[in-house]
Amino acid sequence: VTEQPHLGELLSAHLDGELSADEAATVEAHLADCDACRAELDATRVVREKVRAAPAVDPPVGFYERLVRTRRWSRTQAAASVVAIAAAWILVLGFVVDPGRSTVKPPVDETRVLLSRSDVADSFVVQPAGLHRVDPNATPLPKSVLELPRSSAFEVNGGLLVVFGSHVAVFIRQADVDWSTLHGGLRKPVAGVNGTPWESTDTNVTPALVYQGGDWTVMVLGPEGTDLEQAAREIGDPATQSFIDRVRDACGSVMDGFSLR
Amino acid sequence: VTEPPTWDQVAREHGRFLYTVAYRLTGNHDDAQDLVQEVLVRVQRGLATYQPGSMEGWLSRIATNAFLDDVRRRKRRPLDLVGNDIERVATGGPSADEALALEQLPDDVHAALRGLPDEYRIAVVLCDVVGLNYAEIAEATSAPIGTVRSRIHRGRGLLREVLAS
Repeated sequence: VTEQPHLGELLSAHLDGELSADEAATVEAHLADCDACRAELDATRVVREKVRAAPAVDPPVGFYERLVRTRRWSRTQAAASVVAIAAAWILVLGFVVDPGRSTVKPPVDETRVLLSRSDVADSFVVQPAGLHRVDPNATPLPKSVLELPRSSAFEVNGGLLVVFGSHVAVFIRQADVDWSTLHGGLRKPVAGVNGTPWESTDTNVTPALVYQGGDWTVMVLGPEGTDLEQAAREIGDPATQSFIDRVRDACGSVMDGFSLR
Repeated sequence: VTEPPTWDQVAREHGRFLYTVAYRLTGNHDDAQDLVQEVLVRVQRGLATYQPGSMEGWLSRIATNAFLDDVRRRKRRPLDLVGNDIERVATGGPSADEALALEQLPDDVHAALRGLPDEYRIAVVLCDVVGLNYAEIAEATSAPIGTVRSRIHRGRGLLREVLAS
């Protein structure tokens, strides 16, 4: 009679209900004849129950409250929400890009991937001007890198996302945006802003103001209550040299890949 | 696009759960607090794509990924049972809050878990603390199911030895 090998890890899988009916039957048959495996099953069951019965752990009193109150967290959170909002809008814009255009890569997938890949979070490099640049080859940096300074920039596929304080501007090549498909807002002149901007009026979406200058479409986004028209006036017309200089100053080398003219 | 949950939603509804997972994974309160903070940053930044389903499973996956990233980054020394206590003494001992939290845990199971190699501890925590099934653990840890099964059983075997001694 060939001696059957002992059950080993099948015992845990059996306890966890992870075996098929056939496997479970084989295990039961073996257990009926094998004292050693029965003993191991019992001991494994005991330790499994102990871990399962271990109590939930309360964080130190006030831990979450302190976390949200700290300046570091609030800033990170504010900037992070704004970036997340921008990502959502870029997804919206993705639908208005004509995928048939050979020069245009639809931003949808890559943008979503870029912002959702956890390894990208570790790939921001701090530049002297306070820039965080996405660099897949970069050495991971400490968490403090998530504190976005006043002017930060992210490359997103097909565009450039710049964080100006509490709001965000996304620059997308003008040719890629089909205004006729933007819903939930209307076009109207805004003093001091180029052309006839489109502004969201749907209160269910993040406030956004879209305008064009030079080769670029600018989408300004901000949390509820942001004065987007004022923000747009501050950002200015991307067709002008002064704008280009200002963004270049703020953003340093990340702009090298973008000819704003 | 499904909206990721807000910070206070997570803290209000899942704060205790998240902290428990972080504490079991990292083995100590200092690292648990760092890990929770990192998870919330990732939640806010939408770095993890929220899929409707078990919020706690989703948070656990983020916590596991963040923990694994941290392990890889720091190539942390093997956890040993005295190391953290020595650090704690050197920095003046636990704060009043931490002392309170510690008092609630006369927990030999926790000490035993803390002594496990990372990959065994992660598998056991995801299985027995979080309640994920093997397929979900395999996905969360990017490991084949057979590996998960083996890690869980070997982890339990080591726990058994430690708890029996």
